[in-house]
Amino acid sequence: MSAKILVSTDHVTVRFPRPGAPDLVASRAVSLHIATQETLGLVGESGSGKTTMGRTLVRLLTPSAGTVWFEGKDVTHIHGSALMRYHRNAQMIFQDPFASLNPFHTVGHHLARPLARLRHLKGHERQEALDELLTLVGLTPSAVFREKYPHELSGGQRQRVAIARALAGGPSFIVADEPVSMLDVSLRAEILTLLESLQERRGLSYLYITHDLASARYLSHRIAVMYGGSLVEIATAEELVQAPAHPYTRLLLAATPGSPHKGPLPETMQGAPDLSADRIGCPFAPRCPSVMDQCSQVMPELKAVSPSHQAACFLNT
Amino acid sequence: MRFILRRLGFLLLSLWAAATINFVLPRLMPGNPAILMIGRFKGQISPQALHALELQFGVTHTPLWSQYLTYLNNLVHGQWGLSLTYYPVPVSKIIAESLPWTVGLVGVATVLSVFIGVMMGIWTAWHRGGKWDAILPTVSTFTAALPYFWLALILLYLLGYLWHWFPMAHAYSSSLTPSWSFAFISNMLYHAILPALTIIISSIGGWLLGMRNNMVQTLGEDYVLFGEARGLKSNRLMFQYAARNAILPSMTGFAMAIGFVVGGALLTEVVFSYPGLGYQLLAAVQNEDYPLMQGLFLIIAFSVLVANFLVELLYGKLDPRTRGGASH
Amino acid sequence: MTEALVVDSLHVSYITQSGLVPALRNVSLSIASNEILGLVGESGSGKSTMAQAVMRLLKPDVATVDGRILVDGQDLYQLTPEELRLTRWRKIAMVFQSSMNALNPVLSIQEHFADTMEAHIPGITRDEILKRTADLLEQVRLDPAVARSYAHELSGGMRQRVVIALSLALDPSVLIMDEPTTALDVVVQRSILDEIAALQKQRQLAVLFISHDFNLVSGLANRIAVMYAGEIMEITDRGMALEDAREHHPYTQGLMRAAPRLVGTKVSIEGIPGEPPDMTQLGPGCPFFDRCPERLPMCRTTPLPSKSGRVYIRCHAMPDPVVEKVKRP
Ligand SMILES: Nc1ncnc2c1ncn2[C@@H]1O[C@H](COP(=O)(O)OP(=O)(O)O)[C@@H](O)[C@H]1O
Ligand SMILES: Nc1ncnc2c1ncn2[C@@H]1O[C@H](COP(=O)(O)OP(=O)(O)O)[C@@H](O)[C@H]1O
Ligand code: SF4
Ligand SMILES: [Mg+2]
Ligand SMILES: [Mg+2]
Repeated sequence: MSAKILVSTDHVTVRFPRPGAPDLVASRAVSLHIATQETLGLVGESGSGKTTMGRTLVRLLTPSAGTVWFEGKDVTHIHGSALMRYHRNAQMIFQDPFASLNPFHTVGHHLARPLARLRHLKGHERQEALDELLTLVGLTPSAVFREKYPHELSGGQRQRVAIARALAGGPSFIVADEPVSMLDVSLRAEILTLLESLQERRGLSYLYITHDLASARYLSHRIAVMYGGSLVEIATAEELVQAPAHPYTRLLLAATPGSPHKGPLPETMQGAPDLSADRIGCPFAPRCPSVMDQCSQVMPELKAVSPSHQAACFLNT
Repeated sequence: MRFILRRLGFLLLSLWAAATINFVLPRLMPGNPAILMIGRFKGQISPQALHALELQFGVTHTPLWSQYLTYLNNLVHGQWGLSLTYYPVPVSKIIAESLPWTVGLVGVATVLSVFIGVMMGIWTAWHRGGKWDAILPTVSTFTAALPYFWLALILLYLLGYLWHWFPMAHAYSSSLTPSWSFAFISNMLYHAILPALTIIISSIGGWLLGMRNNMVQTLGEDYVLFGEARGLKSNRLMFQYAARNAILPSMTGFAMAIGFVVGGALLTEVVFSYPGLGYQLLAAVQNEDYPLMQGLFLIIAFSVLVANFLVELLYGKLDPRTRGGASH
Repeated sequence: MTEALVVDSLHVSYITQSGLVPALRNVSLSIASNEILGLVGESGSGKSTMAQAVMRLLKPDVATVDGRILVDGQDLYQLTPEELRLTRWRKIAMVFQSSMNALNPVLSIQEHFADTMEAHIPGITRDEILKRTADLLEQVRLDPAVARSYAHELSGGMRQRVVIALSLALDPSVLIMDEPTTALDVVVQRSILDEIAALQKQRQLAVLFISHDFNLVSGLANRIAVMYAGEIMEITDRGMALEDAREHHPYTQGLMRAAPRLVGTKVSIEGIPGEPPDMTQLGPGCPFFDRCPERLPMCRTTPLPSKSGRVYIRCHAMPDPVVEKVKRP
């Protein structure tokens, strides 16, 4: 996709201080970009820094180093009303729709607030916008759903409310953080196809965070793979799934249900990556079946495997 | 081991804090009650007692810090001042004489009450829906709601006055002198039954209900079901899987209850004229015997803290999660 | 081939404030020794109820259970409490859905193993327990030193392995696994599944493997039972599950079309519109009627036929599968 870049990060690093230990680096010099109307999938096991990147992109977090760009403007350190304006354009959908909705407020109330805060709509106009949103996400008849409370909705319907709320400000960019991982298969399909159709109708760009490569392949144009806070591979969805270049991506693919992989998994041991600031070398080195001497000394840089495919692994040089 | 040392350090720190508060409070009281009281006693008590009072409340011209150091030094050496009520008996001697009675009566009664209450709570929860589960919690709700004073007087009236089953007052018959003889000990136990009974009846229901609720909740946990699925014997399941987890939230309650034993069940000791610390506390308050009051408050605070410390050690034994430091 | 587990006409209803709510309706299936039967269905379809009913873990004040559960030919519901205790784990063991909470937080892993063995093997010595525990832990690729740990010191994947090792402690003939890898990362999940498959072969276990993920089960099970609203709609063979979706029950077809594919050509997915039925308001006909794209007028009122056998489809619009195509495991 050679369309215009909507949002990008340049060497974004997010550190969390830990008492009595080196800082935890949840994302380490991550550079990526998302074009207009593009979906970038972000996959990796839990703790790899996906949510941290998502929150940084919509500026719910301020990175410790690096830059976040949106429509060519530096939004890394904006705050106050500039940040509010940014949130009209960039929104986030969370994994657990139940936790992100207030049990004491109706669906209508949940949507009215962002309509008022971000778009300054009042009275009749706001009602109309509200009904339009509910219809857009398939919660019809809207007059009925407006009055419901979260506990009266099914998991799929709650996630639709969360999507409608994210759309309230009329954003162009949405971070969807594991939006379907708590739903049943058939509801998953409905939410994924809803996201797909909203992209077309509203011209949205997505960062689709998931640990499921199959759904990432389905929804995304390109897929980025994170491990231990580092971006280890990024490619078009098909290229990544069919010709993975990084050993971690290969491991992930082999382990995903529905993979044709037979035999033992391509890893030397199990374990979680080291996120501490004083880690050196490739985060995957302790588990990597192709590990070389330099891997535990130097962090390999992202290098092109093909024009639409980059991987951070010494195997590619 | 590090856990124990840490808790021990914390215990010493809080003991010191309690002692310091005991030192500071009378000096902070508005209108300086010490001087008022000293004034009231003028002419009634000997100059030595007055001097002792003055020292105790800092109505002297030595600087505060040196008073504080003297106070701490005296405290450690058991010199807690002289009681006004029993002048010139030292406060420490009064406490030493009353303490065994209180610990013997209230302590044993409280431990019994906790033990029986907890056991019955475990039993009723385990057999929930059964016959005992219908009876015991209802009875407990009733007994726990009875006002203690009323209960004690009713029992005293019925079992003591009307039917003469038990003596009406005191720790032993006045015709006996304390000794380790069978006659004395049996007489003492006989005197203790009725007051102990009132304590047990009034507090056991709370323990039963609390334990039953925790236990019912724990029985719904997956690890209990998983234990049952593994075909474990029911005793093992009831105690090591359910009760041991269910008891953890009640531990702080035990610490408080055991600690406050030393404060004496004030009402019990008053109703039964039992010569324990609670009885002395009432006497001290009535006679405005500040040295005795201070001594009693200090010993109550100390025992609450020590009981807390012991219970925390026990908690550490029961729950490995609090031991810490052992993660992989 | 001998049947290690037979579930015959199982009905379960939960006792609630608003009366009896059915959760399982006339469920029949059997699992041969050395066979893995997958059980899939949406959440709330009754999978965990099935697992607990088979273990006879549903208390009389929680649910009413009707039907027969035969383990090695013996009806669990006819046993005295002591016989039941002795049968559990020795004949039939279970891995819980949420192994996060399946371990007693105040006992060490070693004590869990000791408890289990002491309850069933009279006079077993301490040394024997220690040795067996170490062997079991090694079988699920855990360091035997894990025995000294407590649950809170282990990761989710390690706890799951401990629970699996525990389930093998008495060499049962039937093993029930209720979503044993849900909530784990894919890599950990896959390595545990690989171990389950290896242990099953090595010990000739009959496994009832419960999951909500059709893809995952079809990679592991010999046959797959599809549950909807407390009923088994179809039992299919693994070989068939990977073939043409149109040969399956309309609900199974829906599940297959809903899951995105990892390999092969990219096909579009679609959900199954609507929601599962309210179990208190079920009509006489097919419970899938409201959501079914293939429904016939008769489906609303005509009860689905009871069926048994290795594979079957319960649907008025679908014929039974052609048996010649079914491959033996
Ligand atoms: N606010 C925070 N404070 C401290 N640590 C955090 C915080 N947020 C995330 N982390 C840590 O950063 C790491 C990456 O987390 P996250 O971005 O949530 O990963 P993912 O979404 O891939 O599971 C984890 O180890 C997590 O514990
Ligand atoms: N203890 C219970 N009391 C009442 N209803 C229950 C109970 N446990 C489960 N259910 C109901 O039974 C149905 C089946 O639940 P379950 O067997 O847990 O399904 P699954 O494991 O397939 O998600 C659900 O509708 C659930 O709400
Ligand atoms: S019986 Fe009828 S409604 Fe039910 S699945 Fe078959 S076609 Fe659909
Ligand atoms: Mg996350
Ligand atoms: Mg379940």
